[in-house]
Amino acid sequence: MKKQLSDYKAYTLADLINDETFILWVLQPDKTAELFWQDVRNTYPTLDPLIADAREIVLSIRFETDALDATEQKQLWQNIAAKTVSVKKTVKISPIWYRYAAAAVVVGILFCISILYSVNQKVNIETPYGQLRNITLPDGSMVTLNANSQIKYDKNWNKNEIREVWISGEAFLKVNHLHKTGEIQNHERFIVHTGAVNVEVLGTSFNVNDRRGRTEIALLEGKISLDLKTGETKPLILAPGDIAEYANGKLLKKSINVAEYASWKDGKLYFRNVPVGKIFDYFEDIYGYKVVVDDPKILEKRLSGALSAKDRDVLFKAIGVTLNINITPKAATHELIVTSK
Amino acid sequence: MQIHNNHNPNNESLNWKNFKNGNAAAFEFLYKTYSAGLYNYGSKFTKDKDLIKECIQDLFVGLWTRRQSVGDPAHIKNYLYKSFRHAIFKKTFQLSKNETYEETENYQFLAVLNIEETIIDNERQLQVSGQLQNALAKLTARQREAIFLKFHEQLSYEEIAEVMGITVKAGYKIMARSLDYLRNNLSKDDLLLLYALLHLKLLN
Repeated sequence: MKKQLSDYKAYTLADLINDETFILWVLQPDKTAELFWQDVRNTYPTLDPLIADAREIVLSIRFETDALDATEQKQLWQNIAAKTVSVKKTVKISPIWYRYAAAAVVVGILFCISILYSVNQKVNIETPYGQLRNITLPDGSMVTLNANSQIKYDKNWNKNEIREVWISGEAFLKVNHLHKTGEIQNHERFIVHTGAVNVEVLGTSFNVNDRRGRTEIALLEGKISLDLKTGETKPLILAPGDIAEYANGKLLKKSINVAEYASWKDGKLYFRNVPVGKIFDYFEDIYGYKVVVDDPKILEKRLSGALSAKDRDVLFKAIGVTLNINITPKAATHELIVTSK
Repeated sequence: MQIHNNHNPNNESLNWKNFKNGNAAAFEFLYKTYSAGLYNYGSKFTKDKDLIKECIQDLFVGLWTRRQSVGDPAHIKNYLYKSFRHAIFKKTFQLSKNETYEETENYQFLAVLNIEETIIDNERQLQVSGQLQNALAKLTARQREAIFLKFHEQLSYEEIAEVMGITVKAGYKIMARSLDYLRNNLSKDDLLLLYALLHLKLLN
């Protein structure tokens, strides 16, 4: 049921809480909802305090979820498939020589790339622990590089060549859209290379996180296509709001709140039901601490919330208070000592 | 919290059409899209994991077998939730075939708020959640289910009515009564909540 903007004029708190589109916007904002509610707020600024209150209430009503683990989920599907759609599959194994040939091709490509490297001058930027950096690429595209991350690209971008950058760590990219009409020219393409994934872009903003053997790409605007370096699977197309995760040789798509994924660039951290262990991993990545925990149970707790990441001490304190633990940085050994109270 | 993004009605109905034509991938997509939500919903009625899994299996196997005769439901999610709910009730209570489950008021719905998941830089919200939790525990199963479907599954009143097999008016009533109850049982000095719930009374 699509509402007119004017319907919101006399909206009460109760109307907001009962409005499915409102609930959806609060719980899983996407681009359309964001725009729509921005519009409502611009038109009726007096609604702002009501919206803030209604948000709070909707966010308070969160139910615990029970879930099957991935194996059970899969097993259950196999049971169903066996009774319905399953056909016996034969596994094709490519002959040995084929694999050697593929390896030879890879070696050849690597050789060519190394020659290209020596011709074109490279820019290589690395950020230290605890520091962000904004970078403008030769075509005017913007990159925010998170702490402890690296970006590489050619100093000069040729008119006929694909725009390419190599990223490790975490970065937020806002890519200039060069393709207007007609067939896509080489220089209109933009590819981000990470450890295992190639991200092909057509004018868009997104977040890339390539750490600890995992790659996560969160798309905020536009459209991107993901390709495994191994070329094994079909490219995965992401729409705004999608997150793709590469881990253990697999590229998977999931839908979560992507705005939160790039929040670090604005000095904020959002967690949504994140295991504490993962948050500590993040601190290790960003601040370069080694986290030392006296009780491993702490790592299994989960945390949701919004925090300012601008002041490290305040950040540690806020998390400490919430989890009832002490988080003490030890400068000498570069350790983050975590003890339960 | 896991939420499923199936808000593109075009894709949904296209997928449904493909499924009805016997497309295995479309069928698997249905499973992948809904099984987690269904499992979670089922777990509110019973803690018997195997029973829930069995109901999911029966639901999907049944769907596939009857694919040529199933209609085109306006909301696929509702349709699945409703059938699943029916299956759970049937299995749990071993209802006889001519007894309709709507008549059963006697069931449990174990929805618990996830307080740990509240926004941590907002202490008051933690408080509000805590109060809601207590109040929620005192509602009837039916009331809790309506609130769960509304706030967790983001269904409209029309959809809630369809899933629970009640009239839309009854849906509004259940919700209003639950919220009324909550209002009376929460600390009165929480102006914000009181204000909100007072307004919700208008639904009556």
